[in-house]
Amino acid sequence: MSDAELSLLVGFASAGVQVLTVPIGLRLFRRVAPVLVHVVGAVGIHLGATLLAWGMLPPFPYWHGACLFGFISIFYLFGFSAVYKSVSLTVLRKICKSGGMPLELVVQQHVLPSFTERMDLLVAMGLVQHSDQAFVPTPLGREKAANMLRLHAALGIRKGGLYGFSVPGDPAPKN
Amino acid sequence: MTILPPLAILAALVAALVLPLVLLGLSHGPWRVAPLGRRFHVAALLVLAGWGTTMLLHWATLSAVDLFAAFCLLAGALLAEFTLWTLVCWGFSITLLLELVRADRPLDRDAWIAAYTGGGTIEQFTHDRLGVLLHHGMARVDDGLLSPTPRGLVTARLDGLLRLWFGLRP
Repeated sequence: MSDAELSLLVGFASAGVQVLTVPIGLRLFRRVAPVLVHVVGAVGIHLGATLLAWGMLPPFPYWHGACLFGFISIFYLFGFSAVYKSVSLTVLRKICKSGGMPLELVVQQHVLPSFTERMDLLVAMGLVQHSDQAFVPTPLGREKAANMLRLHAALGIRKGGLYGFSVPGDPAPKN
Repeated sequence: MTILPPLAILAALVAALVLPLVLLGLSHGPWRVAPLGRRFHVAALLVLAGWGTTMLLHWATLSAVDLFAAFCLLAGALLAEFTLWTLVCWGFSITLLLELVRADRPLDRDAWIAAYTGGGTIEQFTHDRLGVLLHHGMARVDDGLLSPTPRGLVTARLDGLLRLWFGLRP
């Protein structure tokens, strides 16, 4: 086995540890943001495994194992993010369980609550204030929004939010 | 332990770091690619082409292990950058906040939703989100009834397994 292959093996083994331990971390630390559990776990395992292998194995190049570990960790986080809070997948899950659902019911039972949930989250984060049935941004919310609008201007993003898929009979605007 | 990356990995690192600049270049002027999803795809293809050309020019000095590791790095970086791009372009919470600030007046729940959908209704938003399922052949609409396709059933099963693995509510 070459030095580079040994490095790949260390990266692969540490990625295996990451894949097995993150679900435990997510169950143990339910109050911590899940992305933080993924990231802190990945950094900790990578540092620990690299130092351990450095002390126990013959010298090997760092980057090959780090590249493989990074790829698997990011792919794993991507998979988690896809199922975590996706509106589309939530709807798909429900229609698969029931065999089908009228569109009106999809709106009332799944889409409207997803809006309400995000609005409440913005209020809880102190970015939006809710009073007299109306919502207004707080100074902190305005500051965050101004930063994002600057980024949108730099990247020429004129309107975000909607994916802009073409659906027959759907007048949704395109990006 | 050797810290200095070999050429293939160094080129992949540079390509990953250059991608945001390519995106910036495709955001304005004559090279602007207006659809946001396509813009990222074009930027990713350009950096992949740049990296691939560098590899072809130095083919004789490369090893298969170096190429594999470099490809892993570039693929992981593109995936991470795509995730950030989707958050900036289509992030649900951040777009809600932006629309509230743009409105510059107090909005009730319905008006806020209308602002988010560009003057549309929640039904339009639903169609937009369902567009993801319909576009990828995971669901179909017949007489106002949304139902899953065989591909949708497989996706939902995979989604269920992942949720179980990560300890999320079924």
